Amino acid sequence: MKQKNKMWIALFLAPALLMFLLIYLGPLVLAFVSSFTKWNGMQSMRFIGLQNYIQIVKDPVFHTALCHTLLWALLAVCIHVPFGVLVALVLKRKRRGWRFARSVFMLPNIISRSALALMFLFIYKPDVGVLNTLLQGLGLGHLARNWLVDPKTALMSVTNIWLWYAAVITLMVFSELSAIPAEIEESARMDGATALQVDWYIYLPLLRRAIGTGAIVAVTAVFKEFESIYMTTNGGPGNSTMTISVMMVNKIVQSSQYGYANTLGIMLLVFGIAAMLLCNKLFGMNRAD
Amino acid sequence: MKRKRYIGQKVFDYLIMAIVVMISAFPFLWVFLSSFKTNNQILSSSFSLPTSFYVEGYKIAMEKVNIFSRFLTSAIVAFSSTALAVAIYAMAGYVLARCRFFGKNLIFLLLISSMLIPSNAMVQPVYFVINKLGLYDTRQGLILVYTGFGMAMSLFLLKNFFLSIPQELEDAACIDGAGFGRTFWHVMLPISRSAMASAAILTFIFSWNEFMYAMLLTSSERNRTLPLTIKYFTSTFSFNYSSMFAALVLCILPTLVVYIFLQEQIAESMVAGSVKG
Amino acid sequence: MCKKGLAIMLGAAMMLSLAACGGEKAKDPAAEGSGGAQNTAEQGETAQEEPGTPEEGAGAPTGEEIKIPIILTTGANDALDIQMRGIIEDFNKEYQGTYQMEPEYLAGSADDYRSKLKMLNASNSMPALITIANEPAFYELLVENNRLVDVAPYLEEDPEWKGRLMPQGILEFTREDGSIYTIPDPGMSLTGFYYNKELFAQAGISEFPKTWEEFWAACEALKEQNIPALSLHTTETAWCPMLLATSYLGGSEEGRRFMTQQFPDDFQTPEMKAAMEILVKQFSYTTADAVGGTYALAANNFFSGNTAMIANGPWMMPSLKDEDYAQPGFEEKVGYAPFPGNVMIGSAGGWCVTTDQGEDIIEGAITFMKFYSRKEYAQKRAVESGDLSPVVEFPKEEYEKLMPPMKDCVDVSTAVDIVLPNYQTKWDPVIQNDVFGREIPNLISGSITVEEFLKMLNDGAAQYKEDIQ
Repeated sequence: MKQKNKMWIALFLAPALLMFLLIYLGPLVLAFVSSFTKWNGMQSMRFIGLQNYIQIVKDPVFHTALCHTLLWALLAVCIHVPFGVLVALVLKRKRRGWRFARSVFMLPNIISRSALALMFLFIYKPDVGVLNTLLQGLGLGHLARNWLVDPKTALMSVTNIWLWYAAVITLMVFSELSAIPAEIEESARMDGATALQVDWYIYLPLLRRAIGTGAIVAVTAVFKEFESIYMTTNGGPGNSTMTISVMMVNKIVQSSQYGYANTLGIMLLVFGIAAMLLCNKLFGMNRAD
Repeated sequence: MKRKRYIGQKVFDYLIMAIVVMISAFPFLWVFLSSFKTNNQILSSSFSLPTSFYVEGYKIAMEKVNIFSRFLTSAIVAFSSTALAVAIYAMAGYVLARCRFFGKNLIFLLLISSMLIPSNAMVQPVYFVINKLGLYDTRQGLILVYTGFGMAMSLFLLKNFFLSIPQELEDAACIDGAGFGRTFWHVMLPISRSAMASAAILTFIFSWNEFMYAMLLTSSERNRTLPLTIKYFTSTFSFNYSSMFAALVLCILPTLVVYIFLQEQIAESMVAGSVKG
Repeated sequence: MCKKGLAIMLGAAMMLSLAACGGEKAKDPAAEGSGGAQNTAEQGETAQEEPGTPEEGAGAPTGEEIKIPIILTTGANDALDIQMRGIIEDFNKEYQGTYQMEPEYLAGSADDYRSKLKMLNASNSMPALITIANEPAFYELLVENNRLVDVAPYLEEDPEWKGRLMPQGILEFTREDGSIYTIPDPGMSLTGFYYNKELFAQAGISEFPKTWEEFWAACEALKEQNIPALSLHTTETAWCPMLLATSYLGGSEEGRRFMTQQFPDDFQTPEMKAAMEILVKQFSYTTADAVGGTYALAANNFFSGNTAMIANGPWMMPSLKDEDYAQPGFEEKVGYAPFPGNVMIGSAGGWCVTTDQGEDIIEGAITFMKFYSRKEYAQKRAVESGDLSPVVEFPKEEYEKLMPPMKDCVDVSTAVDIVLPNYQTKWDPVIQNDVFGREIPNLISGSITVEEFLKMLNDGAAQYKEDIQ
């Protein structure tokens, strides 16, 4: 029987391990190894030591891309997540139409990011774009511009494609909120606390872990974010919307510099993990309540 | 005084809800309405309602790209990878949750690390692997990749669920003489339907929407998925706005329809999938 | 699209051609198993592709026929694209039982083509025939890695065939050691300006300006009538505005010499400075959507009569008559002219045979190329898309039937003073993708100066040299 179980266990684990090997571990090892080489896919890899890493550290484009990626991580934690939490707290009061608001809020998170990015591409168009039309209608025509092409507004415009769509955070926090017994709020209200005070002093501390998880989810998503830039500016104008992901794909697709691209991939991984650990620490995820 | 405060609260709540609805629905409405306008109407006034019901844009969009074939590819790829992912990770999750064996912690640690790897950091190596397997530009290749990336979403969700099932159930099955396979199939799977549904929904949404790997791992029209259609329209067809809007609507419509029917489950699984480790 | 245009101009016909049909010749014995598997898998895919495409209906090829993969695009409405489809149909009829061209129809743009080509290359599964004149760096890489067939022996073997190809093209593609990796097309089309006569008349301009002074005066006159003079864009290496800017280099000896350099590394010359100033100046005479816009958008502005001029090659002619693009009768209002100073732009183009597909298919590909360069097809290309050369006899009886811009094209192409090569075939990919792709909007908005831009080009060239070292 025991022997038989072992067989079952092996059988049950094998496919998952195989997947892991093929899609995660193998590629990871390959990325790591090739990050020490020059490789264009045609010739075999040529070992060049740390040269790729040195080049990356010196590469001004990488500095810009890293800054943007980190800025996004920061925005994710400081705006994206708080906005999601705010919406959850509002929805929790179950005003008329809250279900509708929740359903609609999820829409942008359900469709493919490339479709959403394309919608924004149109919204930002200088001539047919609805944003400029709107500004002109409001008598603010002087603010109208070519949003995605003006280096001053490009990054902000691209960021808007994901910044406010925090439905995942809202849903997580909302489900956590539903688990909190209603009595807590009621008794606080009896003591004369305002809704704001209840939110701030009672709910937020209870939600710490949920918000922390949300922050981690959001930061991970930011590191993966690719389509919203690729579909709109592809890193331009100049490098004003460049991120590590976009830079990496361009190295692969345009110039076949696989070694360098994989070095960027490793950087993405390292910074991604670092940002996650930081969030973990920030929200005291390992601390017991 | 107190009443006034309540009103302020109410106004604030409705304001936030209004903002949420507006920023989320507006792009959709605008694109949807614009897809029924002629190119000239779009160019002359981007804000107005369509004056006529213009469907030429849809006709042209469907002529230029075989959207149906892409839809089919997307569906095949997404359904297959979802089914595979749920099956594979339910099995692994079950074993990791309920069995004791040598090296379990090591395996668990290894697998959990998949959650740390951003899926697009490994584009080129994954491409290389798929190539070496002879799966470049095949649906199987995409299915394999999506199933693999489903791990980060499904495995821990399922494992945590199996952990939460009371041991007694399994013991009872054991006493009844059910073997390993039967216990899993007849006892554990039926009660974990909701967790599997969550895993399935997450994997499905991911596979259905995935862009980068689809772009790099396929080349022939037959294996192109729906999200790529959008890129195609922006690059070669960007002057015909009404067709572009129509194409965009055609690309997001299937997702919206499914969402309308399954929104509660989708909301649930999004929560379940985020509660990590 | 403009790159695509380029590809065509390069005689490469419209097909951004990469085939999915992968015959990996496993050089690495260890990879043999998987290579074989891939081969069958992909061939299976391509074969199944066919029913969906219009041309495929006819004689369903079966049996021992050798299949020759090629990729054609369906996205644009291009003269050479359409012609190539016709030629393939004819070829497949004539060679039924021996060879069959297997076109895969790619619904994509030049950008899709670029990435796809490189990806297919990494898996040793490029189609048998590819056209990559617009990818000079990639071409060099393929040659170095023995991925292209040296066609010189085939040309020697068949002098009659060689005689049908454009002599300048053969000269251009012959390398120092005598090898030839591109089969030049019989003719070459020259890029100039399309202009809208009606709008010109509105601004009181009777004929297309011949000098730069007249040209800018015309732009001013159009501007006064609230007509944006030029259709411009900044994506896709800013094809239309770069054509006009580089045409300026044709006006001086130094500039002409500059344009003959392959992968130049010093852009900080007075001529380039002047050319880049022209690049910037054009944008005072264009539409609001030009900066950040695509070629397709720019073209549409011209087709819908919003702008008065667009720089592009004659492969765009059929679209003038196509109701998907323009109002009926639009072609009658359009003229075609050389750039100021009687300069036109054109580079010899052609097709390369890859080694990816194995011996039999190479033979088949060569056979197809001989078919492709037959006199009747060369003449058809001359009539429909202005592919002219000393070896292509223009059918005089066709001239009267041509639409006005095509007549102009034939006239001006034979009377041109200076033909410059096209920058996309000459400059390296770092410059074209990274610098042009991202910095041109900054240059136009004034956030960087022309000097800074030229410095960036130099840095880009240095970067490229370093990348390939």
